[in-house]
Amino acid sequence: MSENKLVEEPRVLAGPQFNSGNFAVAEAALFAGLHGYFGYPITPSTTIMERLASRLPYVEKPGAFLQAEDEIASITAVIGCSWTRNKAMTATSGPGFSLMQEGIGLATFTETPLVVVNVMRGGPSTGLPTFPAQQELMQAHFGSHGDYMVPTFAPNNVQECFDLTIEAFNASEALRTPVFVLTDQILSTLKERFLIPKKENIELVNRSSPDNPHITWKGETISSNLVLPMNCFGEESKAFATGLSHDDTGHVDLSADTYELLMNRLKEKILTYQHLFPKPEKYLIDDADTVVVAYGSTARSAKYAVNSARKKGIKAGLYRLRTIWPFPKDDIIQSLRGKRIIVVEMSSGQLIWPVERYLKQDVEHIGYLRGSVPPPSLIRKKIEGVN
Amino acid sequence: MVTIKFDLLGHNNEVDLTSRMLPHIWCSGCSLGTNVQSFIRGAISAGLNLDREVVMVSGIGCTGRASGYIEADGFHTTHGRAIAFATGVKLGNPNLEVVVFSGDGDLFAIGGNHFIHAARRKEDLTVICTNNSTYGLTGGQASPTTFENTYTPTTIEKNDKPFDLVNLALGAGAAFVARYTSAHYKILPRIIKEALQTKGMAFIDLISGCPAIYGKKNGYPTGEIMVQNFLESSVDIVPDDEGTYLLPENTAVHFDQGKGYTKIPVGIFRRGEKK
Repeated sequence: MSENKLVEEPRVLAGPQFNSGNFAVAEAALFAGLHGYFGYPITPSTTIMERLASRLPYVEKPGAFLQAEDEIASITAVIGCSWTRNKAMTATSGPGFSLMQEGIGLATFTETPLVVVNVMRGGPSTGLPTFPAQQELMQAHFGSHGDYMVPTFAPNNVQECFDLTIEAFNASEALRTPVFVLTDQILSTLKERFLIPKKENIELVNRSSPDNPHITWKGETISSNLVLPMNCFGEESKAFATGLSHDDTGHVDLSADTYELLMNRLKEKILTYQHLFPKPEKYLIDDADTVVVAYGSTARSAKYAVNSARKKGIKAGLYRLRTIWPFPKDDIIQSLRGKRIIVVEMSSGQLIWPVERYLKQDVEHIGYLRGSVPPPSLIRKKIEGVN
Repeated sequence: MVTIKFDLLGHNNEVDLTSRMLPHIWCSGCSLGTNVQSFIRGAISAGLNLDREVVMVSGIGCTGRASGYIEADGFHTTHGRAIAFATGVKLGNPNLEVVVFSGDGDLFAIGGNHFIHAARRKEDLTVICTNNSTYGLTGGQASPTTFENTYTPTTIEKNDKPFDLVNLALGAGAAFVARYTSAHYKILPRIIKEALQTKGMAFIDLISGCPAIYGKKNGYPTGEIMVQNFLESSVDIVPDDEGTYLLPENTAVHFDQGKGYTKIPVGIFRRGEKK
């Protein structure tokens, strides 16, 4: 009826692509069944929003797209959209991620499935737009007030931007929780070859409902005692939720027992299924004396440094986190305790905190703050012990 | 002494109230009881099935609790975010009738930005503001509609000029704008019905009172005096020839410390296209 509209495109592109990390995130969201995108432009995340603006309303089974008045409205509208039993997301960068913390707290407490992609740039405040940094690792865990944990995944190449965004949607639906994807400015514009798999080869999870309380994810049945079946708006069962402490029906209950049970369950549901989250990449660590711990773009440089060191006969390895929170503490203790550890990150010291805490040993650190990935030579020299 | 057996008392429209959440937290004399009652009657007269078709969204404050008392789907959001949440719901499922039921502090201080933008974008929402000119739940502090020269614990000497919510909504582009008081409980269901049936954003500035805190200091110490004050000071508006242009001095609410409300222009200030 409207001649100006784009021709309806297929929702899922097929086969090999050559494009950026932000492109891959947007296409993965469409693949996963995204229905609502609400966002506010901020570099370097904006191209995710632009891609979805030109795709989401025009593809088969179209969804809703809105440029909201700010990031607070964006995240809150994402929560609203999710409560209509639709997959919803937003993407942002540092300053916007700060504004979204209020909504993220609400989403964790009301157990709302949604995905937030944070394309990290240098902070604090307006900081260093738009150069890469990794300074929101702690904010992803502790940014909103109160105790909570949001599963946080960190890709380091364009293929993983695609894969981990799908994982993020699946985790959010299976566990009724917000999930973060932490990428950075380099991944946002970096173009690589990546493959969009055949639809039938990828598992997509949809949240439970009163009619279908037992859902499975990666072959495992998700306990309906830990993840309550979700009533959504306009359905037969009443759906109600509040940011106040509440009982299982979602209504206000400020009693000590209810609050304690609720808080414990919210923590437990994430920790119980953390073995289903993306596993760390362990590169040459078995015989390594020195292991570099890194994530995201930094790990690409670190891998190059490890290879260079190996060529010189130094037994170096790389431990790359793909799930940041919950921190894979058992695995890191088992794999790395007793080895010489170098944490490399584009931050003056965030990843080093959990690594030190769980390994309980001295950890060396490169906290690179120059708006780019630390060069491989810098990491190699550290591995060699030359400063 | 007579003991009142509250559990044996019935409520009007009881089936549409979440009985297990009662008694509510509101003080005696508060406008919110009649406002909720009027809303339920309005929604029913609009032919809506509260249980299946309506989503009640509210923010924080005394009014924010209303979503938990009405037997419809609902969400009690963070402070000021009711409209932002409602926007997501409406875009997620346009078949739902999404109602924002919140207070003046929530909608126009912390949530002011969301209001003007939702009005500008013509979001298909019904926004009912219980405008009692105060932050009741936190103890009577000043809100964006607190009147000049009235006492609040946070504005001891003077207050700034309040928002004229009708004028604000008209300027921002709301499709339907009305103002009545909580004492107009006979007219309100009809107004609410019309708001629910309007395409685009419908806004009702529902002048309400907080006799327990704000009113006690500023001229209407009880609910009874408040209702009398509302009825005596309400003036029906007379639209100009085009029926579209209203001067701010004709839409503003006037208030005198010690006397309470002195002029409340009431009526429908703008009518929009029906759904």
